[in-house]
Amino acid sequence: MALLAAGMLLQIGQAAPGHAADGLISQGRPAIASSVEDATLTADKAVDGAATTRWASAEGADPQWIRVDLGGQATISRVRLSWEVAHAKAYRVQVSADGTSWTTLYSTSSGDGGVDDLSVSGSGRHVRVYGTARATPYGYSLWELEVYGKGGGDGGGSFVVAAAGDIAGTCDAGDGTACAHERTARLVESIDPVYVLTMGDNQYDDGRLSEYRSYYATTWGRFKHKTRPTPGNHEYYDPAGGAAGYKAYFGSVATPAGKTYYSFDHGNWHFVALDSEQSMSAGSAQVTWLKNDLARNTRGCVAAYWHHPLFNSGSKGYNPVSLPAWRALHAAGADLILNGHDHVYERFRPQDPDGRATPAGPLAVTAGLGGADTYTFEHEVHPNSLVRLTGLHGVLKLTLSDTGFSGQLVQDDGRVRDTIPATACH
Amino acid sequence: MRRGVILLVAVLVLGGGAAGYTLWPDRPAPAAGGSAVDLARPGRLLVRDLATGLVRGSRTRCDRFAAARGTGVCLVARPGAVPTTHALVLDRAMRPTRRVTLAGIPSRARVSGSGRMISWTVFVTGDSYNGGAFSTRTGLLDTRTGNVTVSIEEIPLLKDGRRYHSADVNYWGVTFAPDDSRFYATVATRGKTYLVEGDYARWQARVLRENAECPSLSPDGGRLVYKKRTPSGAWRLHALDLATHRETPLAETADVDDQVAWLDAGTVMYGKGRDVWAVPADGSGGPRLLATEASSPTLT
Amino acid sequence: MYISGVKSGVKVSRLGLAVPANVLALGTVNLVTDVSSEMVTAVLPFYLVLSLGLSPLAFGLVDGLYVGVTAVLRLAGARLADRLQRRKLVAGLGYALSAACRLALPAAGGSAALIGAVVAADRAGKGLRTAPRDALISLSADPGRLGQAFGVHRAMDTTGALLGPLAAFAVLGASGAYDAVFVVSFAVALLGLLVFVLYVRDRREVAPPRASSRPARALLGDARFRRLCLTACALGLVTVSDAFVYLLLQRNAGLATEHLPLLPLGTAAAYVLLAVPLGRLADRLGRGAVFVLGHLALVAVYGALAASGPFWLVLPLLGLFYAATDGVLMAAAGPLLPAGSRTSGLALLQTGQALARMFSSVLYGAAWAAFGPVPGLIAMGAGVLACLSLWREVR
Repeated sequence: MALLAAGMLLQIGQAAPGHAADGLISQGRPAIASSVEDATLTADKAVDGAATTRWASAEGADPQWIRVDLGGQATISRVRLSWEVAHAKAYRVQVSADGTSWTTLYSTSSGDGGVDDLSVSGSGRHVRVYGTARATPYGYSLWELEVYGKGGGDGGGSFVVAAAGDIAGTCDAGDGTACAHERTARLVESIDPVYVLTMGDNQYDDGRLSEYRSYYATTWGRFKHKTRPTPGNHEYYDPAGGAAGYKAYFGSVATPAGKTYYSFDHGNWHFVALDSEQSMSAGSAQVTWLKNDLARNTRGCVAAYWHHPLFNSGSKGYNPVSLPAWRALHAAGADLILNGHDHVYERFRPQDPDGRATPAGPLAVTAGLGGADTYTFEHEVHPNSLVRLTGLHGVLKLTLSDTGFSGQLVQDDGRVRDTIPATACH
Repeated sequence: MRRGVILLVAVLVLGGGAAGYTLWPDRPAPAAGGSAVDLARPGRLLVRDLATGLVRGSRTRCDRFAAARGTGVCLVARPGAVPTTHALVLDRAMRPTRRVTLAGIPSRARVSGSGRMISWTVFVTGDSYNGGAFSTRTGLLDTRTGNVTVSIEEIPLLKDGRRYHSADVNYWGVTFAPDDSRFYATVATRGKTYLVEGDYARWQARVLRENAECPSLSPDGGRLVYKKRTPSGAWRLHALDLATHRETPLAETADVDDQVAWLDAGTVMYGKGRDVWAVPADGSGGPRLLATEASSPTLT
Repeated sequence: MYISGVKSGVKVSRLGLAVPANVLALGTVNLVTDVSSEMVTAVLPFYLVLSLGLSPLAFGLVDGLYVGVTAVLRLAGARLADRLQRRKLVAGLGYALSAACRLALPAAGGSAALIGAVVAADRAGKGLRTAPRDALISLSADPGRLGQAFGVHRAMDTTGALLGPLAAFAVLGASGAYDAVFVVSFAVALLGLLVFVLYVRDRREVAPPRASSRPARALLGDARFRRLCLTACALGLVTVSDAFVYLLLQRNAGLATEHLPLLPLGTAAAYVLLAVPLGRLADRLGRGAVFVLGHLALVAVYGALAASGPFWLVLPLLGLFYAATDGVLMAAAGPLLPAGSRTSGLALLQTGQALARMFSSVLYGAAWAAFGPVPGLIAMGAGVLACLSLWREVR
């Protein structure tokens, strides 16, 4: 106890000198890097406030960099670098207003590792540590990158959305917590999102209107006014006609422009809702619409969602149905893709439609844990798959800012089971 | 007392006999130094030996086998209460380069002419309690991208020009066209079986005709040979000319339950009984024996 | 009140099992025989598809035929057993026929038709032996303890069915060859036959064999047995087949199809555990009460399925249903049947019930296709409750 208190005093003491008025403005901000050594050593680990997690670049290559987006224009007075053993011998600390042209605030060619607590003076929105010579055969690795100053700010227009697919079985709110989609509905209530996105199979078994009214309406129906749904294969099993019950239940919310695919904007985000049970082939009406929609888009960040995931380590495997949509979204620099269908949670590293990992690609998440019974991972793990969870029900909570996003998979008991690190929009 | 002695003797004799039979090495050991199979050498006929399960000339044991242009696929069953199958991708020297674990019992295996696309079908059976009910699962593996589609049953299917939605579609018996994208297969839904033409790149399929199972496309891409159920309930091999849509019964009159492979531009080969046979693909001639005690014929 | 009118059931001690040696012997025979037959059943799909290259489709089609074969032979075998008053002989022929089929299977080679014939012969053997065997049980135990006797027999029988697949995959693992499984299964079947020949004693009634050339008509002339048969058949019509129960469970629980074969194991385990206690309960409380209890468990199964209940609830309830009804029905019917035609009576009851259940599968399948799974369950459940009110008449 005493030891802990002493440690905290020490940290406060270290942070104190000189700049009492200047705060830490980098923590939790979107950070990206030129490379990572492995999937656990990502850029966000350097700005997460935890001295036990770190970013590391790929081994044996120069130059390498890590940068953090402060969320807005800031005056910077101090940069504190906590190096791991793999430290830089020569590096620069740079600032930029636009993330393109950089001004060097500090430069050294005799770095000795440990903690470099640097007094600097500059302004800009992005701060970059640019390593040109390694001190060890490893890469570059920082426990923490801390930027102190004024401004930056909250990025503006930050808001929360909740997302899930594969939701309502044949139980209702009256069954209380015995009913999985009632539990996830209560979770959505506690998240209190601006929007609720559904990634299809909202209602089992056939998405009939009677089933929607008996089950979904009693639970997730509580958010119907702010729900932006998409249909799944089960909606198309409706004997009354493909997605007839879905369209009847959601009304114009599901078909704002007469189609089961549509888009809308909020803040700096453009949302695209697609229907993977309608043709998604190249040249199809849906993909043509998507391309035009993306061309017209003026927002800086793009999220798209539909039922069938393209990449999938779950029981269903790779499903090429959305490949043309992926190509269009990737070409337009889309940031997030959300799917359901497989009743699992899986998060991928940003990748292109051909499965090559690249920071320029969208980050895809499958979140089919809205209430339906879960599936297992039985097959090969996709090379870009970072996190795989199943055997639980939960909702994806996304925090979207003007410049990036972060997220959490929250289980129905409130536990956070995965954290999507802060990621800057393309 | 005497009954006890009789029973004891019987237990010993029967137990000993059963144990002896079980543990007796009844399978010939793999032929030494016989691994001279090069899947990249064109024109070689390979078969699976029924007694040993080995692909003849190799040391690779498969329950189903197919190969083309330096790529092989070997399905190995792993029996148990919950049966699984390993689909092994083989390189030209028959070394496994990748293993996909599937639920079910191996049924069909195919490699496209270029060696790029691999397909398999497994049976997922129920048990004695549900009267032999079963379903099939057909998967695709693109060796160029590494993507595995565990089941193609979600491919958008057009029937009579309209999108067909049903939870009960089952696919089996894929054959690839030379472009590595177009393929033919069987789909069963609501009690009927249909021949479908699919496209991997466009990810779409459409129903061509009823009652044609396990198609196999000729090397020139012009003809399909498949098994067609006759009114008697037996299967008979038929050829379909894709240009004229003319269907011709082949000269093999026996009930053949196999997905044929092409021996050359005018001949198909298939397992019948315990042997591999060949018959002209135009209805002429008659069946001739190709290999005894063998199955899974494939031409590299 | 007991069907037989004998109150001796009250005298059964609570602790002592006191099962007649003949019942134990028949139980042992069935345990061993079921190990043998389930060994083959477990590996048959693998053998057909992998070793012979057949499609299971070709095989599944003829399944309906077997039900018919079994039904006809059961009646014919029973008739023969009664006429000759040689139940042991007829049952023994049934066991021997099934045992021979174990070796015939690999000998049938790759011919689908021959394999179909062998499987049909195996079922014929089963059909032939079931009724004489149950008649022997019913004649071997004190009428007041018949529930317990059938309970012991069914528990041993199901234990064999559980062990069979384990044995099969062990043999397959050790040898890697399917014919080894058939040979071991044959050896086990021979052992079962030997135990049958050595340890099971035939029971003949003192009354002379019936002269009636139409035993079915004569049997159904008895009002109590007629009502019992009618009730059992009516209940058979509203008994959703296990296949649908497991399919619904699998869908509700989101289980992968390949795990479907594991579900019956849960039911069988509950059956093994509950068969004896419920049989004894039937002897003490009355067979009618336990029979009703079993069907209430069935209604509970339907309710749980309709409400997407968990499998750990449904499987034991289904096991309870079988434990409280299968042997108990035979125990109830036995004493009702006149001397000399007991085997035929039991065969008639079993066949009627089997055909009714087959018809119920068709009915429920159609209801599922038309209205989804739940309305059919509700209708079947209401049907069970309606039939139970009939049962009061015959208890």
